[in-house]
Amino acid sequence: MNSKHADIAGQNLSAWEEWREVCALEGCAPAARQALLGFAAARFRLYLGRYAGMNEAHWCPRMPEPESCWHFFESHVTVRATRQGKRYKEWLFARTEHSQDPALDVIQGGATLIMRDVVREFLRHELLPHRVSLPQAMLEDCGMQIRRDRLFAACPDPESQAALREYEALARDHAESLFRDAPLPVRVALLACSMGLPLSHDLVQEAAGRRKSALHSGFRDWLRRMACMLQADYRDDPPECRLTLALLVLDQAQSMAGTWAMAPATPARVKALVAHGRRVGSGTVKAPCLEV
Amino acid sequence: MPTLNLRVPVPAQHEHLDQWLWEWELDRVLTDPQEQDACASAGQEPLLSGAPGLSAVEPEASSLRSGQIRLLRPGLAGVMSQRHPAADRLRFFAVLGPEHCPQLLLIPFSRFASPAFPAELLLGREPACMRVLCVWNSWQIVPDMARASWLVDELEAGEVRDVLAVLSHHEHGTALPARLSERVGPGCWHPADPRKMYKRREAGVWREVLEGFCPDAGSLPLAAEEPGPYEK
Repeated sequence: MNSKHADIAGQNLSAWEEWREVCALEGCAPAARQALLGFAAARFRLYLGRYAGMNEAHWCPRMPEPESCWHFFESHVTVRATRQGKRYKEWLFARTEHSQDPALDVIQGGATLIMRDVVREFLRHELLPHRVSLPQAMLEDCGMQIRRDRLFAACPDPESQAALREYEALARDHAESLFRDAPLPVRVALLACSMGLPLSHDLVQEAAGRRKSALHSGFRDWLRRMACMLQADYRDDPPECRLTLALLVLDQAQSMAGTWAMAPATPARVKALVAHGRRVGSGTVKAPCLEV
Repeated sequence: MPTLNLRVPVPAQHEHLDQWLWEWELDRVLTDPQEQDACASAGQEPLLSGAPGLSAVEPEASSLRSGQIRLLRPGLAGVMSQRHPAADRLRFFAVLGPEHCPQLLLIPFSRFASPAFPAELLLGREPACMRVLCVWNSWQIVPDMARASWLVDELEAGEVRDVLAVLSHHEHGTALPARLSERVGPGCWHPADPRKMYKRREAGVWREVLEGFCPDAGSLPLAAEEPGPYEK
């Protein structure tokens, strides 16, 4: 680091330390205020830009003034206007204890992590009145998406425990039979779903030995087979009961895929998917629709 | 098939889930995994070789009391990993003690502003980081947690009462008071529901935190264990 950069880093670190000591930004010297406002605005812009970049078609709120960015930052984590209620300051600085990294990097790294949540909250607050429904848009982008109304469907009443146990037993039987006959690509697809990985992910395609279109198609066929089986076996039962059973079967089959993936005889490429997938699983909803 | 009673979520629960899904997806948009690696690992590495930094114990931190709201300190939980969850986010939690329930419990706050599950309670506090309590993610607290956290606030008596009602509903299936049904999330049922991923992650985070305090923590139980594949 050259001396100019070292000077700037030193000034910025002093600004954070000054802010830690005084009650609020307004109490800091002008230079410290400028440094912290600049930091807040830069990080806010970074995250707002990330949202805007992903959602070009959507309305995006305007970038707030630096003072507002800082205000959002502080109000997001300030519990009370007391030192006790501002322990997040201690959290930021405690991250530097025993650290060999430059203190400024560690403090600003922590503040950046907080700012991500701040911008998320800002967007939530700004966009909700406009009824921008981001998840639905994203769900639609997935191609093979869960139907949103399925997440809002009625759930079994917890008081129906006895009946539910019977459903689970039925589901286990169906899942065992279906999973036993499922080819490797379908098992990998079930595994991927349980890990929140899209079927288009390289690791998933590699583990399955199929390209994404073939993988999608095979998985759809397997689900269709399951739906037909349940429709045939329970044709006199109400559709919502069949759906309940189908969801339980799918749940059980995913669990079975997880067990299978760790079995000694399972191909190494599947085990690699498990190892890598734990780190990269996104939680994206990409399981296919169920119609039973 | 036997008769199965279905519970339809109330409109407010629909709204909560709608907002929660929004926040969840937005969180993914804003998170760059590489950036998170860089930020979260800053300040972590030395902890692998150093002793837990317990020198800065504060007097007030010596006792855990029911109703407290505390903030987890980074860098105190015994064995550290490169991306220890105490350092990657502000993690607030509430304490419910013996005067309120049989065991001392740690109940984390959600990072989202809307309740995702029937056992997440919207408290409605002003700071966004403590609007929702994740009752389903309650853990039996370990005494060292006092030294590893700062006291930041207290729950009010009414809040404690509401949390206990949700806890009892979650653990024992007791009826949820009608006044709370609009302050909790709907059931999670679909196997591909993203809330399942969220739940696994959040439970894993606190397991990791608490394992740092317990040398023999391989079997740390959730205060209320999972009710199997079916979630209330």
